[in-house]
Amino acid sequence: MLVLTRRLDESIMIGDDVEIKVLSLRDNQVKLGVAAPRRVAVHRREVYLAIEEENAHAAAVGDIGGLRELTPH
Amino acid sequence: MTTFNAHTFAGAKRMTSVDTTRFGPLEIADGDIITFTQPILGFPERRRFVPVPGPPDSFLTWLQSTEDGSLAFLMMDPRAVVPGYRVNISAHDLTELAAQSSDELAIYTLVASGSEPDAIRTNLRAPIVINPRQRLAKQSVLESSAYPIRHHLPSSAVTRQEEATHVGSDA
Repeated sequence: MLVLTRRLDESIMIGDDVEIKVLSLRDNQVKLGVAAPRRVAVHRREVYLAIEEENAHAAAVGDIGGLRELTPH
Repeated sequence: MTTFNAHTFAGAKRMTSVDTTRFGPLEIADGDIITFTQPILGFPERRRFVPVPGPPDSFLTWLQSTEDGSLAFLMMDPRAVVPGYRVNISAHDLTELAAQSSDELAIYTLVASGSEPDAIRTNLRAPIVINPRQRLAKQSVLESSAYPIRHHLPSSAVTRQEEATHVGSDA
C-alpha cells in the first residue's frame, strides 16, 4: 500500500481525475473530500462491504415459499 | 414514482434466449432488457437483467440476469411495508439514468431470506432505481440515510398482510 503524509487542505490525485482532499482534522476523525467523475462510485468501505454481502444473500433467494404470501395490504 | 410494468414481453423484434434456473428457458425481447449503469454491488460482470413477474397479487418482481441463468434477484415495492419510504434521487443519478425527474423512476428494494419466515428482509439502504422507459437502472447507495441494509419483514407481514403496516425499522 502506498503511504502518503498530507496536511490539512492538501490532497492526492488518483489517476487524472480523482482528487481526495483533507478537509478537517479533529480528534480521531479526518474529513475527506472526494472529487471524482460520475462513473466512479464512492462509498464508505464498511457500507460497501455490507451491501455486497446482503446482495449475495439476495442472489441466493431460491424457493420463495414464505414470500408467496407477501401481498399488498 | 412511476409504476413499473414487468409484463411487457411483446413488441420487440430481436430476442435473447436464456436458460434460467428458476424459470426455465426464457425468450426475452431485447427491448425488455434493463441495463445497469452501475453494477449491483458484488456482481460487476452482470449488467443486463429482465424483470419477471413475481407471484400473482404480490408486490414482488424478479430481476433475472440475461447473462447468467442462475442469477436472479427478488425485488419488492418497499412502500408495501414502509409506506413513507423515500429516496432522494441526486441530479447525478437522474443524469445517469437519463431521466428528467424522479417521477419517471421506479424504486425497488432487494429481498433476502433465510430458512425461517422472520428471516425475510429487504435492503432499504441500497434500492434498485429503474428508468422503465429508457430501460436503465442502478443500485443506488444512500450514503447519508438511516434506512437499514436489513429491514426485517416480520412474520406477520408474511402470514397476515393486514399487520404489514406496523413494520418498524431495525436499524
